[in-house]
Amino acid sequence: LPVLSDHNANLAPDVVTSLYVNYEWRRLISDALQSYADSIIYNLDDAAVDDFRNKVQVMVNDLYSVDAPLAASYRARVLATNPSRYNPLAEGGGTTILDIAANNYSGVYSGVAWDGTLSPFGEAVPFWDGANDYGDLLSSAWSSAFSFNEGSLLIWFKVATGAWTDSVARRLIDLNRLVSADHDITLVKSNVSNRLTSLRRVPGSLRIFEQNGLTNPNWNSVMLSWSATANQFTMYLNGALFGTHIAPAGTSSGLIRSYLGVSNHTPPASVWHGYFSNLVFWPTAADAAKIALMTP
Amino acid sequence: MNIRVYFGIENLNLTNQQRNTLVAGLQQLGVNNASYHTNERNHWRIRLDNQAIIFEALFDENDLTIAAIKQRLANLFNVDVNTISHTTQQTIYGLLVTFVHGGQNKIRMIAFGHDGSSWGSWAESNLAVHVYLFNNLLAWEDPFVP
Repeated sequence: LPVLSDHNANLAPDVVTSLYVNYEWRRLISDALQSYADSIIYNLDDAAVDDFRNKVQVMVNDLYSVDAPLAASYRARVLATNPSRYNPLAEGGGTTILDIAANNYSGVYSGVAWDGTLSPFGEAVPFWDGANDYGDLLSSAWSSAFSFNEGSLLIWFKVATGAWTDSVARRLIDLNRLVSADHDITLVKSNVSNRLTSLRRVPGSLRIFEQNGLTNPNWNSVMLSWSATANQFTMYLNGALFGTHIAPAGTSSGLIRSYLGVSNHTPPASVWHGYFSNLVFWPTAADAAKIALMTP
Repeated sequence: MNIRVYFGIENLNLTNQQRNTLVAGLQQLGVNNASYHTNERNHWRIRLDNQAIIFEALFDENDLTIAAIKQRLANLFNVDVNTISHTTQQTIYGLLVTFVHGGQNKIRMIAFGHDGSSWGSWAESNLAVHVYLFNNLLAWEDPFVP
């Protein structure tokens, strides 16, 4: 797409262009072309042609609106940190959880809704109903690449009304190498009110953070970082360090479960109730550049 | 009329084969199972003991009537539909229907958010599911015990 004269020059054009053509633009253009084709095929309706023209105009306006560059600039910031996996969670529909980092670790949505709620970056976000929805992140390539020894993850989340005090444990992220308690990295909204719990476990070593007193009904960002080399497991909430544990080494890689918003999808349980945005994984521990991504 | 709601089925006295056949049929319900909106596709949650399931989808209301479920059971048992009877009970979760054949309760169906005469909204059905799951937490939830 051509750069217009009023385009935000601070954005990398290639990022803006590729992301928006690959995402919502592909769908919007497809929908508009389909409408146009329908009008030609069925009735050569002038009103339909006018409608098509209007839709294109709206699309162009949307592309250069304030919200889209905000999301695009955030994506550019994330991509500049070389994530191993980056799921913006902004597809707007469909079953595919897109990965826009280089490795294409896509996933699958089941049952989530897009109710118009926006991320901190102005994009529609998926809603988990707290009953039977999930996101499955697993693939053989992702399983092979993931390391319990070195890595970090970031996710933005927003709980549904009442969820902080609903007395049900609800998963944000669930990564397991075995069904049994062998290797886990888990983020969970606890069944204890207003608590977020995170853990990393390798054989012989379980490390837990419990952040209490959480009541924010709006967007939060949480980051987990683990490094056997540095012997540290750390948690950050909204950009602030929550705590640090020692982190002994475990088996390096291999996942059999990798879920977003659920603990296990056969049967699903611990279903998230609320929204997610911008899930990022890195093969290295947290650093200043990554932590800076915890604010829009 | 198409409705996006939740309903649950609990096995009371079906064989595993009958249960699996019934569930496989119910998993095909839904009028928009290839929808771009995945919440409209038929998706489900299975109780930890595999003896109950909760479905959500954009359903044709006619597929969820007592008569429609009776016909499924009649086909399952290869019997006349008139040999299937039922009882109803209004619960805090919605309408509870127990289906009976040969003097034996076979399955229970909970129409989440159904007030006895009609289905409620999706939000009402969702709230009813939340209350039901919470009140039956140990049966449905994977306990978080680090």
